[in-house]
Amino acid sequence: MATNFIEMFVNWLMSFEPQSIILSGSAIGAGLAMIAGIGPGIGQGYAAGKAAEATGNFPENQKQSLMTMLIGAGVAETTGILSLVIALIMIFGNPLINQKGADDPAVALVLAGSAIGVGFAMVAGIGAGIGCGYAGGKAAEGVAFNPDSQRGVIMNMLVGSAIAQTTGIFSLVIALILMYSNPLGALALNSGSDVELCVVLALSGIGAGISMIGGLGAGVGCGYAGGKAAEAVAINPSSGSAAMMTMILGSAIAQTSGIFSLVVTLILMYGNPLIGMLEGGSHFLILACSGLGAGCALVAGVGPGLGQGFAAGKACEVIGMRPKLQGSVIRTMILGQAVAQTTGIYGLVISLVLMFANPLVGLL
Amino acid sequence: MEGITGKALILACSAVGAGLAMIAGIGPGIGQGFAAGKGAEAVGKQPEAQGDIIKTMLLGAAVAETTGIYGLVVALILLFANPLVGML
Repeated sequence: MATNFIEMFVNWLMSFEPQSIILSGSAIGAGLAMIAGIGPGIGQGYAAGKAAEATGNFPENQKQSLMTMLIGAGVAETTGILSLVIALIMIFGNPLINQKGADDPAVALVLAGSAIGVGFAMVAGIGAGIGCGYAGGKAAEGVAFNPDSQRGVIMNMLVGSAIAQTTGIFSLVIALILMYSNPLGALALNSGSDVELCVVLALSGIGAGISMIGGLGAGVGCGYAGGKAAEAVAINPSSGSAAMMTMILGSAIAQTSGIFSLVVTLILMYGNPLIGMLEGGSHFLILACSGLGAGCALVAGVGPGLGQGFAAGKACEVIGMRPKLQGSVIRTMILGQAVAQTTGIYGLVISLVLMFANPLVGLL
Repeated sequence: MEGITGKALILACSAVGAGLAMIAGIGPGIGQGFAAGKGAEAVGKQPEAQGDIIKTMLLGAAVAETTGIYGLVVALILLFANPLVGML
C-alpha cells in the first residue's frame, strides 16, 4: 500500500491501461504545443499595425508596403503552423501508442512524459512568431518610406527572419525525435521497465521539452535585429551590407542560449546521467525532479536571447545612420552581449550541476 | 478511485489540453490591439487615407487571427470530436 501522494499518484496512473496513459499525455501535449500561436499573433499584429501606419504616412506606396507586410506575416506564421501540425499528429495519428513497449504501464509513463515534453518544446515557437512579425512590420514601414530600397529591405528582413526561425526548428526536431524515435522509451524498455527508472525518464522527458523553451528569446531577438537591419537599408540604402553583417554577427551571438537549451535537451534524452545515479542507489524522486529542474533552468535563456537580439538590432540602426563607426559599434555590442549572456550561463551551470554533480542525493 | 476508467482519464486530460490550447489567444489579442492602435494613429494623422488604412489594418489583423483559430480548432476537436478515445 502506498503511503504518500507521489507513490499513490504513480500507482494510480499505472492502474490504467497503458494506452490511456499515453493518450492522456498526448492530449495535454497537443494543447501545450498550441501555445506557440501566441507568437505569430503578436508578430503579425505588429506587422499589420506598422503597415497601416505606413499607409497613413505614404498612401501612394500602399501596394508595396502591403506586399512586404504579407511576406513578413507569412514567414511569422511558420512556427504556428508547425505547432498545429504537431498537435494534429498527436491527436489523429499518435505515433507513441504504436511504439515498442507501449503496452507496459511503466513504459507508458515515460511515453506520456515525452508527449508532454513535445508540447513544451513547441512553445519555443512563440519567439520566432514575434520576431519575424517585427521584421515584417519594420520592412513594410521601410518600403513605404523608400520604395526604391524594396529589394534590399526585403532581403534583410528575410535573412533576419530565417535566423529567427532557428530555435523554432530545433524545437520541431526535438518534438519529432520524441514522437517517432523516442530514446527514453527504448531505454525504459531495455531496463525491464523498472518503475522508479521510468519515473526518472518520464520527468526527464518533460524537462527536455521545457528546456527548449529557452530558445524563445533568440527568436524574438533575432527577428528584432532583422527588422532593424531592414529599416537601416530603407533609411540609408548604401549601408545595406554593413547592416546585414552586423545583424548576422549579433544574431549568431543571440543564438547561444538556444544552443545551450538544445545541448541540455540532448543530454537528457541521449546521455541521461541520472540513470547511472539511480543504479548507484540514489533516490529516484530526487533524480526525477533533478531531471525536471535541469530542463527548467534553461528557460533562463529567454532573457539573454532577447537582450542580445535587441543589442544587435540597435547596432544595425546606428550603423545604418553612421556606417563609418562600424568597428566601435560592433565592439560595444559584443561587450554588452557578453554581459547579457551571464544569466543564461548561470542557468546552464545549475542544470549541469543537477545532472552531473548533484549535491542533493548526498544529503539524504 | 476505482470508478475512474482509462477513458475518463483521457477525457479529463483532453479538457486540460483544450484549455491549454486556448492560451494561444494571447498573441492575436496583443497583436491586433497594436494594429488597431496604429491604425487609429494613422487615421488621426491622415484622415483622407482612412479607407486604405482600415483595409491594411483589417487584412493584417485577419492574418494575425490565424493562430488563435488554430488553437480554437484543436480545442474544439478535443472537446467535440475527440479522436483519442477511439484509439483505445
